[in-house]
Amino acid sequence: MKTWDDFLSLLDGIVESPPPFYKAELDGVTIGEPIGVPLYLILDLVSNTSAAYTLFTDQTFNAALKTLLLSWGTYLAGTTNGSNGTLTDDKWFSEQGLAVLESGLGKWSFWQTYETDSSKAPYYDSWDSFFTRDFKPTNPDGGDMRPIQRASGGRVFVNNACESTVLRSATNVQIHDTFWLKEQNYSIYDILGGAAQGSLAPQYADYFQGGSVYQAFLSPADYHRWHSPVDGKIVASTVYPGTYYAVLPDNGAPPYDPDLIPGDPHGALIRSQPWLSVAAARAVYIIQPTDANLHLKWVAFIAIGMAEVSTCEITKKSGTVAIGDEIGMFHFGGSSHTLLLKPEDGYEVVFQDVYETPIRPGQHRWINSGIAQVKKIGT
Amino acid sequence: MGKLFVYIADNDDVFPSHVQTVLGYKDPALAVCIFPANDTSPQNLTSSDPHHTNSAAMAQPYLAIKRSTYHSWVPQSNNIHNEFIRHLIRASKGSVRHKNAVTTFDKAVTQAQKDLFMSALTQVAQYYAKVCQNWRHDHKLIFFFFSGPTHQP
Repeated sequence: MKTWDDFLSLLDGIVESPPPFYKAELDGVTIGEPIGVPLYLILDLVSNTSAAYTLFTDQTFNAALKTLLLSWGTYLAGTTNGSNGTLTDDKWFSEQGLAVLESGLGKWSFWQTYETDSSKAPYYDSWDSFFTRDFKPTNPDGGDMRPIQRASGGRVFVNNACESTVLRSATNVQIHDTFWLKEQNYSIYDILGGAAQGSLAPQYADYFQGGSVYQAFLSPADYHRWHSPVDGKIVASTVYPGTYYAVLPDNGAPPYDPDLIPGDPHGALIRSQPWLSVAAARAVYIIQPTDANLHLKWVAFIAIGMAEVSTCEITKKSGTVAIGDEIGMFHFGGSSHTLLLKPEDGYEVVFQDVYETPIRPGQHRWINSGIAQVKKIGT
Repeated sequence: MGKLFVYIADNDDVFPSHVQTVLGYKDPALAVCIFPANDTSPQNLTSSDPHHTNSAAMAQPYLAIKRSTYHSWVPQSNNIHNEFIRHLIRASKGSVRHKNAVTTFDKAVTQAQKDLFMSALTQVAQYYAKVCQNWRHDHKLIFFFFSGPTHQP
């Protein structure tokens, strides 16, 4: 890609086709890989430059990009061509494709786990229907497909709001904080909307001063709907347009990167995830917990569209919500999410599962599973 | 007289397994294999990688390839993402009229924004130029000559 026109020609190949699935031979073995975010692949290297930072944080450019992404989203939601030959037994539903789709499902298969629109290929009416597919209510053993870990042995849990892989957690987050290249702190005010029109930050940022934050990301194969992490009342919710491909330009992959060699400039978007919580297109919910045993004053859930997500859809805008209730969903693209948790005075948030195993980066966690408790400080 | 085949190995596609595959497929009478090498001590090869281990055993004392930034910058044959982008480039060749959504996007973007995009592309090109320059400085070329049909050095 050497010119702007080259870029437009590449876009031609993307905006009227669904995300493909590729197979290739590697040392005699057929491997498969989803191209879940095709436009990102083109812009990956480009984004990691100072010029792209300026461009991809430009509101008018992002408005033009959003129109393009919405058009693609309309295509992907279309029932006549939205899946367009990719939801087939030799692509996404091939042996290799199903291996990807089933990577986080435990012992159940894709077909045992998810609802479909039809029993015949392409199984879903559109790409969007496939992407936002729902779980079956029960597994083949008769248990809940995604059981809600509400409480156990006198303990009450905050549940995972998205089926996702843990990125990191942090405590004592500040209302205003800075985002440096290597040490990306979380800024509550900016996460909640900053100076954006209709921002929730002026009214709610103070509520979370000194609280804890948890962030995890979704793979293209994950379930893309969001569930309430607590029993409570949604007192406010909104969607911010934000950026779609902006990253914090850096010096490349760190020495501990599992996929890239040190210094490789690819993947800056992945490394920028904490910063994306204040910059990217996102939906924000403010939830007041109603379970007094949880000892939690406030919860904010932020669904972050990392790349080419044109729509963060809020389906439950306000009112009473039970833990595990569906409250919204992502429509195509790469995504991440953040929880802000503000405990009662004298209490602290401890990120651990129901077996008191610490929540660590890299773990894939089911939705509705316990990821945090609130404990009296010193116990 | 068979074909002359020139094989330029990158850091992972090292002698001999890949080369033998190529030779067997092409069946040349003579092959010239050019390896980048910035070290002549085979113990630097990754022992956990069977390709590298075999390479070290068979290519001593001439060949030692260790990982360098070069590897990450050159599209690899097994990199599916790069294959996808190449597919898009092939598909886009000859395109004279953009899709409606793309045309709308093009009209909505200002010339100043397009210039910024070009600046970003230039910065990427500069990355490549710098890394390739470093690679040339850091490596010397070692030539191997093969003759068929046994494919032995």
